[in-house]
Amino acid sequence: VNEAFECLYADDDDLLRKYAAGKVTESEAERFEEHLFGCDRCRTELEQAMAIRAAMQEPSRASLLQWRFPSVAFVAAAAAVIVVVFGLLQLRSRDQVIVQPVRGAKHGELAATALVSGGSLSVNWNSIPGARDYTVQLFTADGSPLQSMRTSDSTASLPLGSLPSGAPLYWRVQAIDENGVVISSSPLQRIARPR
Amino acid sequence: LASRERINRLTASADRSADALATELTERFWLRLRVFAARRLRDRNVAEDVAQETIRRVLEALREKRVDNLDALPAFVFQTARNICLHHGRSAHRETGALRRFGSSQSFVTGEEADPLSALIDRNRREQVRGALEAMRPEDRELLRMLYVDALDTAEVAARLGIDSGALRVRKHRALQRLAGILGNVSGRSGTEGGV
Repeated sequence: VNEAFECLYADDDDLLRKYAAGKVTESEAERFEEHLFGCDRCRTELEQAMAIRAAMQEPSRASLLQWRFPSVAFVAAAAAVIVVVFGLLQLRSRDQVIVQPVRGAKHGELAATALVSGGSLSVNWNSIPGARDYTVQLFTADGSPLQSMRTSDSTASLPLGSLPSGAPLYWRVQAIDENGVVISSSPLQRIARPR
Repeated sequence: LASRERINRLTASADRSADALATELTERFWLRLRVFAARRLRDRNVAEDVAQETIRRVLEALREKRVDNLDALPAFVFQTARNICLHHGRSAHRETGALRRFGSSQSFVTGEEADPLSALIDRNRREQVRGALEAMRPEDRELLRMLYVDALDTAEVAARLGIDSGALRVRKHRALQRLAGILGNVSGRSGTEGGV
């Protein structure tokens, strides 16, 4: 059998992709692994699946760094916005509320709140026009993705039980349009969890 | 196949160059062993230890001619890795029991990964693939997301896109070719195992 051309697992790769995603039963996983050790094609395709998954779940390094270490220009712009907003507030009556989006988004600002309760992170957010789905993402402090959940609702719950306690975690919600493009994102926020 | 032949030759040679054989075994089984162990133990560092220990034991077995049929080498490596993982699992279980007996309320698993296989992909590789994905057409990206992130069945993705499974496979193949093309243009050959 020429592994490069004939392989049932690689020709119909449903199980291979599910294995990479951790969505197979133990017996399916064992059978596939036994095959994997002898099949070079499956090894290549599995690495490909893992790399695509990892890359698609990875937040932009640049955006995380930008969030953690905002540039001088960003700080200056933020300070200017605060000054202008403060000035406007002085001019307007106290009954008026000025909503200043943290990040500009033509589809609207995604504002999300979260609550840690019963070993889960419960997140709620506002609907964004044009969004088909929302992704709730959980990261470690160095930006490595821990969990991700995609939903069309405006609420989600992520279990934290299997994650190491004490380590700081960060979360955010992203709105995704029908083309898979992120059209709005909540800021990264830290979850403080007791040790 | 070439790797199998090289292992054959190295094992059969009189001097049995240890370094060359170890290199061959590592090249051939490193990713597989880490994947195998990471899925079971959910910790990339422990998975690396298991992979190293497996390579060491297999090397020892080859030197001592305990592997008669080299065609069965993959099965031998698989079984060796499984035994090491089982042993590790039992040790971890005993450790848990001891912690519980001492009334520790702390989590005993220190490095548990939510997505252990993705965690094996190093940061440079992720960034490289992510950059290439961002350069793709949105419809290609969405297709790959449904297939690899959501891990939907081929039939389900085909139904969502209103095409048959055969057409979907063609579309996927082309999307992966485009991804490989972008990756090739951006960085040449990837420095990690395998390659998209």
